[in-house]
Amino acid sequence: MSISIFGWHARYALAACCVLLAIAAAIFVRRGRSRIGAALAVAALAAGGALAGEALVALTVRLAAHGTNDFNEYRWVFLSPWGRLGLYLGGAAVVGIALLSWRATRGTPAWRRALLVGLRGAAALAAMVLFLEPAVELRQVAREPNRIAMLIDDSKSMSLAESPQGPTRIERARRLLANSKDALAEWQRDHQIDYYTFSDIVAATTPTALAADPAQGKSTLIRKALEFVRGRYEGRDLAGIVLVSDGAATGSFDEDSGDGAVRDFLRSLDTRVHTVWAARDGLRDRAIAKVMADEFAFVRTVVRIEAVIHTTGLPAGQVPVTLSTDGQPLRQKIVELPAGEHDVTVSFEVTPPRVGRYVYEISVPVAPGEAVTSNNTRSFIIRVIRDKIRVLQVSGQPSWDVRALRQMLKSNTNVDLISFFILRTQDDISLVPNDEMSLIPFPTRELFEDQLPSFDVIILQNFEYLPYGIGDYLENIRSYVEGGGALVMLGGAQSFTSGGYYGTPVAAALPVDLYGPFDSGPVLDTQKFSPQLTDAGISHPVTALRYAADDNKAAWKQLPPLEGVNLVAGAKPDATVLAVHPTLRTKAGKPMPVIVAGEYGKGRSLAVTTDSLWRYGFVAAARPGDDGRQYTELWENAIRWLIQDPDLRNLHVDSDAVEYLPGAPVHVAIRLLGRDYQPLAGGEVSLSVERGADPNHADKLQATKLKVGSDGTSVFELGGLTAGVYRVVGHAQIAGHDVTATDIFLVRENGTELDRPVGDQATLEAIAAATGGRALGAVDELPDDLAFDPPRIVRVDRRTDVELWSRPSLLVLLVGLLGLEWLLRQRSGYL
Amino acid sequence: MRATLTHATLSCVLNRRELLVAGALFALSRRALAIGPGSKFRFGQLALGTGSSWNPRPTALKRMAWELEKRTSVDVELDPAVVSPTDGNLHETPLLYLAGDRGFDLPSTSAIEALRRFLTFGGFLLIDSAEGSTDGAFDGSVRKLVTAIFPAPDKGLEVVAPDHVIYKSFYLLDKPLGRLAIAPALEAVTRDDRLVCAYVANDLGGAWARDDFGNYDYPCEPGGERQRELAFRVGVNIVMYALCLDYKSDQVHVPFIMKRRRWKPED
Repeated sequence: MSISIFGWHARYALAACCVLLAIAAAIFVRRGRSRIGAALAVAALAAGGALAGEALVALTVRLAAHGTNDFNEYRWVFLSPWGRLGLYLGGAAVVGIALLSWRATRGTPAWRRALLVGLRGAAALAAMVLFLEPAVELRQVAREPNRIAMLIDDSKSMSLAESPQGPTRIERARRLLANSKDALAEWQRDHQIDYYTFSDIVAATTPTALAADPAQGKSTLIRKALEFVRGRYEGRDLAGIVLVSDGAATGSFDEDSGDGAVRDFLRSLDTRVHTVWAARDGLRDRAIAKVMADEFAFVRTVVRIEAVIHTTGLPAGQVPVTLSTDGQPLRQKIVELPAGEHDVTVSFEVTPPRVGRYVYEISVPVAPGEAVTSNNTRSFIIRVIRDKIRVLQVSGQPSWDVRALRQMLKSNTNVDLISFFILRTQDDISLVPNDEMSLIPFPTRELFEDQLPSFDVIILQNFEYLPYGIGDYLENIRSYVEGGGALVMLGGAQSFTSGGYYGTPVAAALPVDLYGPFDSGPVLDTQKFSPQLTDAGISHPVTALRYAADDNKAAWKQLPPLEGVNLVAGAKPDATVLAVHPTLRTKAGKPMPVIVAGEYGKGRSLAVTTDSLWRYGFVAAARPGDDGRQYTELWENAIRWLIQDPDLRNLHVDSDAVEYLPGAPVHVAIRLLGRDYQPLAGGEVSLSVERGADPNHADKLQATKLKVGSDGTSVFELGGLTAGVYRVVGHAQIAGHDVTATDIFLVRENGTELDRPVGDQATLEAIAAATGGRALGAVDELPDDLAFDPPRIVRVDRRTDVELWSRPSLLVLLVGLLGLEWLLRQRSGYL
Repeated sequence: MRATLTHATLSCVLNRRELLVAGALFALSRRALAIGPGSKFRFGQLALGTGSSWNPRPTALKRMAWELEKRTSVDVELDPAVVSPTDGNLHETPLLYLAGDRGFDLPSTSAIEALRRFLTFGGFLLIDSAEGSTDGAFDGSVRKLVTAIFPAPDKGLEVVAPDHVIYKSFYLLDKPLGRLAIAPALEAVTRDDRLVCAYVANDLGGAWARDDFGNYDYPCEPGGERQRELAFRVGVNIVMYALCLDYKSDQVHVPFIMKRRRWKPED
């Protein structure tokens, strides 16, 4: 071990300065410019003196301490008690002495003045050495190697290749390690390297295991990996971190905090993070990177769905973005995607027609050469619930039936009622200015076009459409019902045939056939009558005023008679007649329908061919002990049936969650109720499990039968499901009737790792910059000069101090310098 | 001219086939104004008291019914039905009209109970004083009757606020004028946010009554014929309230009504 004061570069520089300054001094002296020559000569002497001083110190140590080769470290120390303060004061004193000497030698020839000042300065320096008592502490030490954490991304995006023939990113990482054997060996002289893979989890690994790593992590959580390292090495000696990743982090690196917090976090690592980018430019991909939709939506209320289309590496072009449900396209938009890497947001608006779970899917077509095709489609579930039942009541004229219905609906807190009554017709006398009346225009377009889909039930109550210009909107009402809405037509002189509905789109949605304009015979009957329940009506949810059939029949018999009925041609073939007139017959000879329920498309409709239902409430309440509750019950039943209330189902099939991870257990709860809505103990339910968004083309995975317990419930467990849309369809028979229930759920692809597969070099650069590390970028080999913290843990085996100040030669040097200076002064005529 | 206009309007909204069908049905639907007598609105005249004291203005209701028929879309049976509280057909006429010009004895307990059921389950009682005083014998009897039907702690007759929907159920009104203008406001009993019984001391029937020759039976004081017109409007509004309840307080009507009343909504 040799003692050095200067590095090699400084040493060469001093030697060069010494030689060049000496040559320059000689040249200047020969040319007669002795002042400059003298100054240069002093500088040359100073440079040479510095080198000589270093050699002198090294020689002194070598001579003073035996076996210096046994020591591997040294450090400078001051044995005097003055420490650094003494150094600063001594340095100032040397400079001061040199300046005073310079001042005192004014008028002296230049070369002599320089020599005098140099000698005085050198003597002062020698005196300072004596004053400070410098020494060299020689130590024999051993260092514990500290740790380098090598973090290698093995998330799924690392299995991608930028080009079909090129290496994958994980292969690139493996090659990097293989190419860097020399650098790694160099690092291992002072450090130990710990290898880890990271994705959504961090795991210790070895270079050997890394060679077979398939890179299947669900997500790239760089921050989590760094937090792991910080925790793992807390209180231990960490030399640094080397992060090898494509930078395609799930979300952004600072997903949960602002930039400042991220910087604070990176600083808290208290070590350098060197980064290597394993990805390359040129990846081609088009992805549904993000879908923004509420998990819940209200039925018949517009839902806004936004999707972020991420494109990279593909040429500009127009791309169709499709929103579909049940495998059927629902909306499509053509989106202009620019070239390069861009995010484009596209939004859709849909109106869920019914309560339930809906699986929606947004997709873009696969482009040639795309690295990832699974991210071109994204499925999600929206649970459609009901806020309030929105009912539109449109009446052609005020009446007691209108009043009773409005009062009943307004008193129901679950109903949001919109009423429109025609209070005056064109035939009525109007001698009063409009400003003195409270009448308003009939907002036909708003009701029957703009707001129509928002209603759960539309009630046309003795309403004739012709005078109000609603003909154009009747098709809207029909398509509304067909799409899942509910329509009620109540009788009256302006309803059914006498309301002009024959042949209109609304008639198509009604469960009864109307008389045509050229059919002979009356269209109304004004006699009082008591309707009779049909067999279907005895147990139908609409007319079931009591659970038990006999009780229900008795309840209906006690109701007061109705008055007047609209005559219709008959019930439609697929409609359910619930109550009929006791004496009147249709032309086909069948009992005249009074209450008829039907399904039209996905919706339902109800026809009540009388305008005197109010009598079931107010007139019935005339009897002591009767509160007229039957009227309310009948309407509540009707509305629940019309809106297809899930609680009215006899069979319930409900999974315990909406979304699952692949392989996770799925518990499906079964509940079977009888016609009286009591648990059907021991009932048998057939279950089938299907996979696929389109129910018509779904793959049937399994079918089973199970019996429910005494409480009518059972649980069916599924497992090992892969990503996809699943339906569980239950079938059961209740009193000879088939009942069906379906539940839908989603098994989602693991994480969102491949939503944005493009490598992100900027994130890695930011991490390196914030921690003082180096962003190596896209390198194939690690450099051997990466900066790591040296090992902090040192073991000192031997130590000795070599005093430099107590050497006799130093005293001789000091005396000699002073004597020489004094001699020169004498000869120059100074004291 | 009117037929031409109607045809033109219909042509805009119907195609040719619909027009033919609609034209055929239009006449058909016009023939049948009500599905039956029970579908029509009909006043029930409540017979309380001795003799004919409950009918001081015998022609009033028929005239009011005629006006209602002509002014509104309501199908009306012109002749009122005379009912007593204990009649089995009390609930066939959900709007009862009680008038008088002298005091009357409280009806029997069963009659009181019947009236309470009638009003509780949806009926409406309009009481009209024809005695020309706000503190006469009829007024005293009315207050006793109302207290008997709705004893404490139920609230009895209270002044109806000027912004109540009954003042805007068809016409925009400020006060319940009749033949007289001695009572500044309606008084009413409210149950479940619904007026079930309204009391007017301004002799509405006196303003409505008209003989077979077309002459009104009584002059209206002090406002003359304008006051009579307003009395008919009060009658229309009360019937409309009974038939439509608080329909005119629905949000969709509010801006129109405020604009016409030249009110501004509070921010």
